[in-house]
Amino acid sequence: MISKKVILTGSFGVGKTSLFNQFIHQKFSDKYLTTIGVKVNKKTVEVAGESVSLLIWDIAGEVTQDKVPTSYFLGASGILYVVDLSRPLTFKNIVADIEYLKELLPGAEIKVVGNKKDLLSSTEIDQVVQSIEVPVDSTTSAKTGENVEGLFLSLTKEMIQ
Amino acid sequence: MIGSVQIDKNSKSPYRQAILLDKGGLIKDSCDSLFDSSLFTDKSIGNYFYFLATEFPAVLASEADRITYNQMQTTQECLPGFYDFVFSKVMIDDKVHILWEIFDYTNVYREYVKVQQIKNEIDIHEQFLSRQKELSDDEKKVHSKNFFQSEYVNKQKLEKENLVYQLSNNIKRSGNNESKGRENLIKLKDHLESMIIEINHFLDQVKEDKQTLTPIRNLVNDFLLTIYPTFSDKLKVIYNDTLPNSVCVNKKVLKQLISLICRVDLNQNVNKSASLSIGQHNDDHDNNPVMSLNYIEQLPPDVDLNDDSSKRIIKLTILKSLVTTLGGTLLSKYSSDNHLFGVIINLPLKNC
Repeated sequence: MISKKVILTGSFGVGKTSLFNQFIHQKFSDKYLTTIGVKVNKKTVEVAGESVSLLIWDIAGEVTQDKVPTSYFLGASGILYVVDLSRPLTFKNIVADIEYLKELLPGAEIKVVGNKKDLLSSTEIDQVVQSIEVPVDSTTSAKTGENVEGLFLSLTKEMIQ
Repeated sequence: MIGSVQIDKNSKSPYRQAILLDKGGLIKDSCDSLFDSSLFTDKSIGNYFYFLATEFPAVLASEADRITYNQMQTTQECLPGFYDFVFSKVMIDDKVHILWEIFDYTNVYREYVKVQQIKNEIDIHEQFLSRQKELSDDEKKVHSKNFFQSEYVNKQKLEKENLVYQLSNNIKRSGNNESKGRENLIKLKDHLESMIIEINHFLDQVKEDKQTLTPIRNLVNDFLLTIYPTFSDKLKVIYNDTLPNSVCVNKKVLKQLISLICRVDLNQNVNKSASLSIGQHNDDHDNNPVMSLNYIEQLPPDVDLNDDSSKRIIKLTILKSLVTTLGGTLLSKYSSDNHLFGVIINLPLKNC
C-alpha cells in the first residue's frame, strides 16, 4: 500500500484540527482547543483503484510558516494550507507562506483551503476568496463536513499521479 | 553517524526512553523506562506508531545524523501524552540502526497548552473586535459568541493554581468598558507572549541536559550570576548540618532551587527564608530519601494576595510541572492570616 504524508498547516484557530477530526472521525466540536506541536493520525482512502494510507499531521498554528519546525515537513507529499474565511489576518501572510512552502518542499502538492464557510453567506465567500492573494483550491466547513472528504481525496489523487 | 550505542537498562530515567531499531523497524534493544517494548516483539513498530511509517524512511534517507521532533502528541495507550522524539542513525556491525529517544515532557507541555490556549483566544477575540467595527449589528451577534468557550476557561472548578481561570475573570470584569477591556486584553496578550517565550527558554534549558538535577542548575546559572546577589542579603537560609555532602544535596543546589522560586517572585524586597532537609517522604513507599526545600516569604501588608497569587501562578505551575517531570512534588500556599507565601519542593534523591 502507498503511504503519503499530508500536513495541515496555517495560522491558529483556522480549523485545522476540526478538519482533521471531521475527515478521520466524522466528528466536530464547537470548542476551540489549541494544538501544540503535532498530532498524527492515519486514514486509508481508495483513489483511482489504489489504496492509499494518508498519514495526516495536524500541526500547531503559527502566524508565519517559517516558525514551524522544518523537521515536521520532512518527507511530506501534500500540504493543506488552511485559512479562516471569517478572519482576514489568517491569510495576511499567504503569499510569503506559500512561497516558503514551495521552496521547502518542491515536489509536494499544496492546496489552499478556505475553512469556516458556514459562518459566511455565499456572496461573502466569493468576496473573501477574491480578496485572497493566491488562488483558493477549496472552501470547506469542518462543522458541516462540506467539501472535507472531497478535499482530501483530490489531494490524494494529485499526490499519486 | 554514531559509531556504537549502549542502552543502560539499569539507569531508568523517569522521563526518557531509548529504543534501538533495525532498518525494518524491529526493536533490538530498549531501556523500557516509559513503556514495555516486549509488546512489540517481532513486529514492526511503525504499524503501531503512525508517524514512524513515513518518518522512518525519511530519517534513514536524510543526510542529517540526528533529527528532532518536538511536542509530538500521541494517543497510543503506551505513550499517552506529549513527547520530544530524537532519531539518530547508528552503525552497529556494519548495519544502519536507528536510535529513537523519547523524552516525556507531558506535564510541562500540558501547562504550556493552557498558556497558549488563552493567548490564542485573546488574539482571536482581538481580531473579532477589530472586525466588528466593519460589521452590521446582525453580523456582530454571530461573532460575539466565539470568545471564551474553551474547556479551560469555562471550567468553574479549576484547581487553585490555575491562572487561566483568574485571567479570564479579570478580562470579563473589564468587559463592560470596551476600551479598557481592549487595553487589558493587549496587556494580557503581551504578558502571555513573554510567558511563552520564557517557557520555551525554560524547556530549552531542561532539554540541554539529560541528567536529572542538572537542568535545574543550568536553568538558574545566569540568574545566580546576575540577579541573585542583589537580594541575597535579604534571604535568610537555614542549612541543616546533618545533610550529607553529596553532589546532589549541597548549598549550591539549595541556592539554585531558591533562585528558581525567586524567579516567580515579583516582590524582591521582602523577607524570605528557606530551609533544606533530607528525610523520608510520607508518600514514598520505596523508602528513597527525599530532599525537601521549604521556602517562605513574608509579603508586605499592602500586597493584595489575590492579585499577587494570580501573577505568580503560571510560573509556579510550570515550575511544578518540571519538578513533577523530575519525579518530585511542589506545593504552594498563601496564608492570608499571616500574609505569607510558601513553597515546598520535594525531590527524590534516587536519580542523583
